[in-house]
Amino acid sequence: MMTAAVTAPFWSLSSCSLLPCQGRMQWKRNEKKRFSRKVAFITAGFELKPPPYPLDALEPHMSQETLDYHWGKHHKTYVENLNKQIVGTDLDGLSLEEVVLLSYNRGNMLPAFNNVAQAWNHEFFSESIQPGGGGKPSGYLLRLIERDFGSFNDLLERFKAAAASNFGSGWTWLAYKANRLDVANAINPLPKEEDKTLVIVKTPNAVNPLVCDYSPLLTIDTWEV
Amino acid sequence: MAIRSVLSTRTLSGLKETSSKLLGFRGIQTFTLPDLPYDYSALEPAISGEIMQIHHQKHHQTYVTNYNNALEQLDQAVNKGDASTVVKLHSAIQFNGGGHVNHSIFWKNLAPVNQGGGEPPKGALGGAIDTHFGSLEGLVKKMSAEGAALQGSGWVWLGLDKELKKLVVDTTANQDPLVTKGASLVPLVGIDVWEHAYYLQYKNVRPDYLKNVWKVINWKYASEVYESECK
Repeated sequence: MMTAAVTAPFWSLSSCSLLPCQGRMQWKRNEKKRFSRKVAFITAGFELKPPPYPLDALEPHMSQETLDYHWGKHHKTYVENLNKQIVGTDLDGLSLEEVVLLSYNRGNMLPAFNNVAQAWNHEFFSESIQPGGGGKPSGYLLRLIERDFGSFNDLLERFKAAAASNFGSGWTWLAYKANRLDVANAINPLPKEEDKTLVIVKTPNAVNPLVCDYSPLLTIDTWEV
Repeated sequence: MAIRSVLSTRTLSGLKETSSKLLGFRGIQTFTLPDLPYDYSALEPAISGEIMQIHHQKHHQTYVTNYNNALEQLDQAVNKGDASTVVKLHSAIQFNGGGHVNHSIFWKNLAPVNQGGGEPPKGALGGAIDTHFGSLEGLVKKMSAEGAALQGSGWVWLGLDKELKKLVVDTTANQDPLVTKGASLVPLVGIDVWEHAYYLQYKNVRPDYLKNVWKVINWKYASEVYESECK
């Protein structure tokens, strides 16, 4: 199993607030304007972002062939099918995250959920790994890891065990959970400092922890491919 | 005892006894990987020999090994009266036991072309397929579509509902056996649509795998099961 670089994405953990949208990444949408003689209309489509490194940059841990297929076929298909699915609907024109949350529909998933969540997951996964990554986290993240798991090695052991026991297709996440009860769609009325914790989350198929309002920090794809 | 009756099994060839290991005072029956009645490369070009070998020797074997381990732990927990461990083991038993059950059926669902693979079903099953689905092509189209649309890992099945006496097409997730979708469902044909069943050969194009797998489906076995359940 590959080791993921444990680096936190660009937002700072120390600025987490009590608001539901914990400062998560806002995904830009790609706007295209098309003009006809009679009317001008805007269509929005999600674009397939390439990983922030060349496709052979993760060798020997992950081959170029793997990335060719994973990004060039699987991820690409999710994005293309998503755009086809939502064009002209209520979900058109929203950010990727908004479409994930709306199509999750409190567990009663709409057809677009599989494609949009997988598109989000794969983009996030591309950023969870990097050439020359690995090593150890530092700073505030390391302090939280030591507080919630004992040590970085304990986290790794627990994470590996979780990923290995995630049957079927799915993802395994390190996520930040703040002021939420362990029940979806519930807000803790008396939030405390101790409620803010790091958690390891296993999700099936396309589901990701955004739907329970956690903030994902990194993920590993445990689908067979 | 209810638990012991769940543990009985039939092997593929019927010529070999299931090996049993006595563990502990009461003894539980454990399972072994069934042999294939054809060579790994015998299903080519529909399914490559590489896939067959890895699928059988690695994936199915791992389900058998982990199922045996889970059963051993279950036996100990039952003997100790450790109810929470018994309940905790249910997911490992369902997953690994289901994997063993499903794959044992799958190897019988496949046959080389020179042993009848791909030959359309005749007799009672052929008639029932025409009645319920219009034609074999209609059934194939439906199962292939449902198999292709299945999200993540799972199986697509042709089953017989023993009580309603009709054929059904259904899917199950992960390694859930068909019976988890209905207690009266008997699996006739199951097609594995986990990525490990096709990826090395067909890559991400699951629909191509589903187009070709029908060329090696063993309808003779499915007919035997159908006729024996319909008596």
